[in-house]
Amino acid sequence: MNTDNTKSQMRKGMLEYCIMLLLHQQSCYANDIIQRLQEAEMIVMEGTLYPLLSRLKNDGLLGYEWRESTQGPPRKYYTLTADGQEALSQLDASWEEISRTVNFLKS
Amino acid sequence: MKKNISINLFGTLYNIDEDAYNLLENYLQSMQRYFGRQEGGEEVADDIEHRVAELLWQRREAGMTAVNIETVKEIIDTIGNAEQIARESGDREQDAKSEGQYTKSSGRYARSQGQESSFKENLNQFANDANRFANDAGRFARDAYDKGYNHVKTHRYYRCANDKILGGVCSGMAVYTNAGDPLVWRLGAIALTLLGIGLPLPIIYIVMWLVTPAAITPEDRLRQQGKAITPENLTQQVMDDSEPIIVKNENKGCLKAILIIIGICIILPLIFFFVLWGKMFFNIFFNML
Repeated sequence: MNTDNTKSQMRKGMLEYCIMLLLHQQSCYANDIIQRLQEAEMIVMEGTLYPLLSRLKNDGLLGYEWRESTQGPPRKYYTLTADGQEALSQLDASWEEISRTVNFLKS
Repeated sequence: MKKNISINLFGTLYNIDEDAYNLLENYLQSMQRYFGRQEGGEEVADDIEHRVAELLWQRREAGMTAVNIETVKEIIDTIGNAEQIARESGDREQDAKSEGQYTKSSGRYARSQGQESSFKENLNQFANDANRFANDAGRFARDAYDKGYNHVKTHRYYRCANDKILGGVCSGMAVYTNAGDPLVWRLGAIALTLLGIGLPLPIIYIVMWLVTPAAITPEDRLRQQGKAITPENLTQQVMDDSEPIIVKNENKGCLKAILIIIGICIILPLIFFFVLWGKMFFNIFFNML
């Protein structure tokens, strides 16, 4: 059985949640997010992130501000909005549920 | 040795090779075209341009002096091309659209199967040999049709802007049909016209020259050859284009002049003959009255 498609579907479903988790701890700019996600082996291609960030922002879950940088071009720092916090806590609960289900089925 | 240009990316200057610049600009434009169609998509394209700038900055800090084509390829590979990004980021509209296409095409398949079976029933009254022959011919015609249909669907006609004597119509035909050297098409067209079989050819040529677009961007040239517009193909095309073909064209100046003279030699007698024939028909007509 080819598990690649299933794996990529799983990753896709998790990606938004993971981004929000990262931003919950501190506000980040794209490079930070990419590095963290690559460390966690969540994304392969960097470009994947941008449509997601744009969608989350349009849904009002994220906000951003421009900050000048001494190291290269100005950076967009993303933060979680109040709506975003709310959505994150809902996703936390549903993640708990999923992991409980999987653990239950495994045992 | 390569020509080098300097670009300004968000306030920082970079020296970049010409072919690398073409590739990079192409990439950014393809992003703008792809995401620009979606709501809030310009922002995504802009974010990606910022990312490119950042990756270039990092490389410069690490001691890079000029941006070459390998660097740009590396950057494109790390960020990914538009279609890959849309697929990986779970573009739901895209998924729905491709599913719709799938059902539509399978519907068409079912319909053609239905036609085929009724076709066979009608043929059953004939002898088996004839049946087989008809089937073979049908299959052959269908294969040829499918092949032609696919070719028309994947290829687009463009005049060759970089390999032309007059308008690049003949070299465009050579690329489009993927058959023969442009020279064969040119000589063929001239020969047919001279033999009198292809009298309308000069007019068709001029019309095609006026109506069809010239292949200018690397994307045009990929569509012309029926290749998919992927970063690999684009990269390859940009590299191919950076080979100096233009130099070859300058030597063709005298050939061009000769062809124009031949063209005039053909067209003038033609006009003369038409006038003569017209007069002859006129005379016969009036004589009959």
